[in-house]
Amino acid sequence: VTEPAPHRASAAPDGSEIALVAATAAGDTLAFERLYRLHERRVWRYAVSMVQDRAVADELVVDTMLAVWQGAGGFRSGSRVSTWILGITRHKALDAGRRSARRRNDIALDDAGEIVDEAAGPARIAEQDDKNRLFNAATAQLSAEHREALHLAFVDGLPYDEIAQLLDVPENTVKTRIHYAKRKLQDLLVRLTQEEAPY
Amino acid sequence: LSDQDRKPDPHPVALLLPGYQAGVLSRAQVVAVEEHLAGCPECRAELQSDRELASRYAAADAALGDPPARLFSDVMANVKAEVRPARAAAPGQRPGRSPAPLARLLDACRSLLSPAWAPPVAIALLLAQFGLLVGMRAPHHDVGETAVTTRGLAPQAAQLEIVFQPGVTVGTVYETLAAAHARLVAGPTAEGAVTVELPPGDGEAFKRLMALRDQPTLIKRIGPPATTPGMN
Repeated sequence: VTEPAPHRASAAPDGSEIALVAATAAGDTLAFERLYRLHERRVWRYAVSMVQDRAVADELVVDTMLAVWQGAGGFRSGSRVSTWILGITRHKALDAGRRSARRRNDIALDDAGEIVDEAAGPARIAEQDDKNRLFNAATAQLSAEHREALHLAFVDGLPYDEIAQLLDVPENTVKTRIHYAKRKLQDLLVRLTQEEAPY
Repeated sequence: LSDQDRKPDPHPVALLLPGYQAGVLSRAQVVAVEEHLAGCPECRAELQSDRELASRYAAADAALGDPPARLFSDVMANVKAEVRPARAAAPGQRPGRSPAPLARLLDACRSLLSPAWAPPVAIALLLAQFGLLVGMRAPHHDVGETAVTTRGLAPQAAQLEIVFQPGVTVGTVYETLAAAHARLVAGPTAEGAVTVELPPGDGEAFKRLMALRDQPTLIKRIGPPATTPGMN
């Protein structure tokens, strides 16, 4: 009836990454470089999802990774390094969101189709296929909570307990939030598809 | 929460489906989900929908591309700018941070690479070589059997494993070890365990380390290493 799901490793903390954090705490810039390379893209795409603006997401990556460099000594054993780093990103993204006057829910469909990328230019944006444009438009119209929960579950593939730790909510809240976020996203996709359909 | 969000879900297992398709559930949860799916067409459809959603996220993620390369150089420029003045002020130290054993070791290695030591060492080597040649030409005296001495084993450095309480920061671990004059050999591991080495014959260092057992909020266990030391 169903295909067996590939079982990933449990949420056991990654010892080699913890060693990199420990070396970073001791001032080892090479260890920090390796830590940066391991987490840069994950931090960046999480930031893009959170703030929906590439320029702001770029700043968040720099701020987050400098905070990792400066705060490695405060890393607590028993946590996962990725959860710790994403937690820093999340706090900085929430701060950035509070500072920004932008209201994602007010964004029109035409604008929400793309995540803002001033460097890419109109030619690149025009190349995005309709499916992705519609999908990005739908996710952009989700509440920040729903968008974040879906990103962590479907893009990062984090286990529920890690998402719960990151969002500081109970695990059951994570499960229900993801469930209703999926429904909302499906509703949005249907509505946006109908709105775009030719009469 | 919207009204829709307040609706109870008829199938609790359905809440696990995103984790099931991502492969992050425990074995027990996987078994529970598969048992439920076998008899529930509604949840099988939901699983299919989750898989399509995962594919759409993957496509959108691929279209997003990579972060700009300048981010790495921006971060490293800031890091190096922070390291440089700190090193000039006090080698091995970063602002507001106590000198960690690893930092001290790295600085010692860096100082070995510095060219400042080269001229005096070269002169010393020349003098030692000259002295050796003179010594070889000196008359050789036989020693009697009674003068033979045994060569004992050099004192070994003692290794101990210290397990810190969960939640203790890496910074606190370093400060504690530095205060006890213990050299970090391995760790900290995910469980907060470190292996340390004490200077050979330094009873005081051993006493200082064992005194840490009086701090149960900080230390969980001190004892012989459970396994061969190494960074995990």
